[in-house]
Amino acid sequence: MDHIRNFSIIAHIDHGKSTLADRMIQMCGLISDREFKDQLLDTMDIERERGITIKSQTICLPYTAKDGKTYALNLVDTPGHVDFSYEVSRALASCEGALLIVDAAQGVEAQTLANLYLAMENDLEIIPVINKIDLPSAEPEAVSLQIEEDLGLDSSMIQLCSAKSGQGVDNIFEAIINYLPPPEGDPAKPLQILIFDANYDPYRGTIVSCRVINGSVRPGDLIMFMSTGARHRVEEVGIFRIKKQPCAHLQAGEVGYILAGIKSVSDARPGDTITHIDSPCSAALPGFKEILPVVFSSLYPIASDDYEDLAAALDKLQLNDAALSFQKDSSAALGFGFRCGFLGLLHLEVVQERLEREFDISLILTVPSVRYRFILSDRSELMVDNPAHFPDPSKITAIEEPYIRASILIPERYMGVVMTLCMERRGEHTKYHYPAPGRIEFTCELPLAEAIYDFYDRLKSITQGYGSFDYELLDYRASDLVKLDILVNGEVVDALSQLVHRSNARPRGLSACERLKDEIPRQMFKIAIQAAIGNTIIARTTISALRKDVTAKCYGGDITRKRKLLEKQKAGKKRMKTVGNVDIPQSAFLAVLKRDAE
Amino acid sequence: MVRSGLPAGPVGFLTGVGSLYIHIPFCRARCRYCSFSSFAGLESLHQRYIGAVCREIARHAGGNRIDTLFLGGGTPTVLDREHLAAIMRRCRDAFEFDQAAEISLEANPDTVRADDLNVLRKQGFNRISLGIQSFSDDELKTLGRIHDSRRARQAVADARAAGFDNLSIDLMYGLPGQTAASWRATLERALSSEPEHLSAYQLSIEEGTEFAERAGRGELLLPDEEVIAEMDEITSSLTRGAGLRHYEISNYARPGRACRHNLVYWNNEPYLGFGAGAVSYQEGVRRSRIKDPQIYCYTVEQGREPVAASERLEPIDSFKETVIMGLRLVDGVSEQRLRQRYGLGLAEVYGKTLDSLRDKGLLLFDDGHLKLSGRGRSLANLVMAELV
Repeated sequence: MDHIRNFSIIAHIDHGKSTLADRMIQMCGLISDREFKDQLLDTMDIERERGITIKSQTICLPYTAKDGKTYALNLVDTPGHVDFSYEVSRALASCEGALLIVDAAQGVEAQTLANLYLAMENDLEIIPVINKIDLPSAEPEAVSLQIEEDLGLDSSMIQLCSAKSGQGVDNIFEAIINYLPPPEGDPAKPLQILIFDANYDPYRGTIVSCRVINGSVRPGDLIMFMSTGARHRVEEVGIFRIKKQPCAHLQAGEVGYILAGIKSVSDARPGDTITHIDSPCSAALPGFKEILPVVFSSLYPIASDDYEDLAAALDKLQLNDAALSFQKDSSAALGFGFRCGFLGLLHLEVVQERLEREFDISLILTVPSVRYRFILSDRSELMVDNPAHFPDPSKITAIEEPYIRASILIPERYMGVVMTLCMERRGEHTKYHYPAPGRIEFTCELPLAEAIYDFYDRLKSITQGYGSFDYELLDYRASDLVKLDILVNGEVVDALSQLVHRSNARPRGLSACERLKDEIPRQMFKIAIQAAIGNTIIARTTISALRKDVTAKCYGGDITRKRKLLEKQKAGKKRMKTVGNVDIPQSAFLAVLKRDAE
Repeated sequence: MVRSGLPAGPVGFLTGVGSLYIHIPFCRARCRYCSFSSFAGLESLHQRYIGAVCREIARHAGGNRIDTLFLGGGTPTVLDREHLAAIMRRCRDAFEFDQAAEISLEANPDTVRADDLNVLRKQGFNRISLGIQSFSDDELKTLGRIHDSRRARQAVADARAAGFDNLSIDLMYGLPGQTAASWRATLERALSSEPEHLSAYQLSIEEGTEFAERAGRGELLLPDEEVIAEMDEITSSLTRGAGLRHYEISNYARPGRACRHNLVYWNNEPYLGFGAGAVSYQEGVRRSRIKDPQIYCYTVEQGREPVAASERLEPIDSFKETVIMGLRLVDGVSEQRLRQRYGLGLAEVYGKTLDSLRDKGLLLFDDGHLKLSGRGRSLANLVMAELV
């Protein structure tokens, strides 16, 4: 076991995590320069484009050290977004150490801290790495000081590198061997395997990414998933190189994969423990949690013919995304669709993008909602994440909504605007401290519902990109919630209903009306757009009737062009949803999702 | 005006062409609203262009007797009258003309002098369409026209004196800064010369024009909808008072003086077109010629067809096109003629769409014709987008 090191790379977004991973893979000779492409571990288009990691990936790097011994370095790459922090924590739990990357020009950021805390919770040894030292604006000395003073890490362990050029990366390998402890664990003890991720392969079933804590597993073994009791026979075990490489067995301390005819990734949950059926371990590994969606939205195909395709596409996505949940939903305005649960807004966007891109389905999304708790007059409790299921107001005794602790790191000069933003979003218990001169870490307790819209975008814009944001879920707190309906010519468009805090209802209603007015094309008749709570109209706008739409000239040379224009107009109309007698374009539904820039 | 004598081919196209269009893509100056195929400042090309057009005409010689000819642009009258005469002669050499053929010439007031008009009338042009646009000098300036109202009145008088007894005046309304009163004044002035025909076009802002640019910058103050509605009212009542009948969305004529050439387009019947950018519609195929006059000339001189694009519609699509074009006419489209031409009826093609448009009061069926209601005419694009 002395020749194994299990480590992860943690960093704030854009500090160079994927680049360093790429460089290490390349320097171990696992891949030729010819085969090399950026972000080797990010296999999805969306990951590459957005520069974020959504799924954990693992790779076993063979490394011959300066002491002449050969080591197996298991790099566990973790997702890089708050939406996926539970997966991150499980991936970290399978490591003994972590490289904490800090950008030499940017210094410590919010996610640097958040990720460091996670690593510390998992008792990881930390090697600080200052990356991008070749940038003209690099200030490695200042950042070293920050790491030592603010993060309390041992400055003698700091590694300087440029992942882009490869400078200093060889020293990182040595540091991993010298500073990180080898894994502990006993191959002779009963089997305990920690699952930290699962990927779906259409030919092999679920590929379980895991760390063997104790014991040893080999093909043919009968194993059990402790949270569900599900039983399987191991078909193959192995390690990750660039591709899967089968081996005879995996034993304590090793990181690798297991194939066992598991149909869906939701059967192999991150954090769960695998053991032998015959000689089970006495207890599951600590830290297992069910991942629960926190943001909900209904997805409708624009063309109702696409419903079956959407169902099939969601099934397929779910095979590889256990956090995605969905069930049938229907709307009077939009027909049949699905109510989906997501880990956060990024997760929602990723799913939407994959559906549109990989499956070519155009979608309408309803306003994202969190899950509210209703206490009814008969003392029963009701969880509601869909405005359509808002209970009869006369029977509600109390409503509670989920709160988060938001942690925001900003240069001091943005304190005022950030404070204002948090107050606008019903922030409470704001606190701040100075992790470094001129920098503020600002925390406040916010309703999750206020953070899921455009909070991060707004933060970025008011801090000119300097603000970074992270959050954790806290608890449910009492709230004064109302259902805001949007009516078009007197008919409620159910897909536009949203649950909002009473204090937000009027501005939100007004903004929705204004946006619809901008997006709905004028039609033959006047269109009244209203926002209402119950029977009370709280905002309204009107789209005046289209009085004239006629082409003045059409002669012999114009006929083809004119016909094509009309065909375009007709196709545009087909892409609209008709509510009552009003044609509403997709853009109008999307516009309501967005909040005003100011 | 229905030319029921045309035989219908097997797939809905009509054989035999009785109409010619010749395009002159030149202007003295480019108007600020114009998106038509036209080029200013190419005087050096005129001679060569006439040669190319004549060559193209000669190549299509023969065929049916010609009932209408329309020389349009651009501004045909920027050419010397000898050039125009040459084109006319070439047409007469190449085709046999009906005794009563309608031979139209588009002209701008600034490019016609009394003696030119005399010559052109003698050469056989018997209908003239004057692009006056407005009798307000301010509005003419705004449009970028190079004539003024005095010149416009003179042109009308000269045309009459030259013997044009079939005279049409083109006007525009909905112009930047225009009021209902100034439109009334322009219209009254136009009608006082007792034209046989009047075209009243509402200004539309076309992409790529100077107006579109200015509108994009918010610099174009166009009359609002109420004012436009009032202008439409004025047009309707003044033309009626002057004995002109509304027969197409933008066109008014004394009985029997509707433009026979343009009726060919609106009835979706065949025609031959010559010149850069001109379109032919023959045996169900629509062919548009190269727009750039120089490339057009070059291609013709090489002995090649100067065709840039062509399309042949399926009968069902041609049917729909015929309906859409026909609905521009106040008399609408004859179901019987549709059936003769395509073997299809309106109900088979459109089903419930037709009922719904009728229920909304946009379409009506009257005397075997499908036509737009008054409201339907204002919203013609909405209706046509359902029927295309």
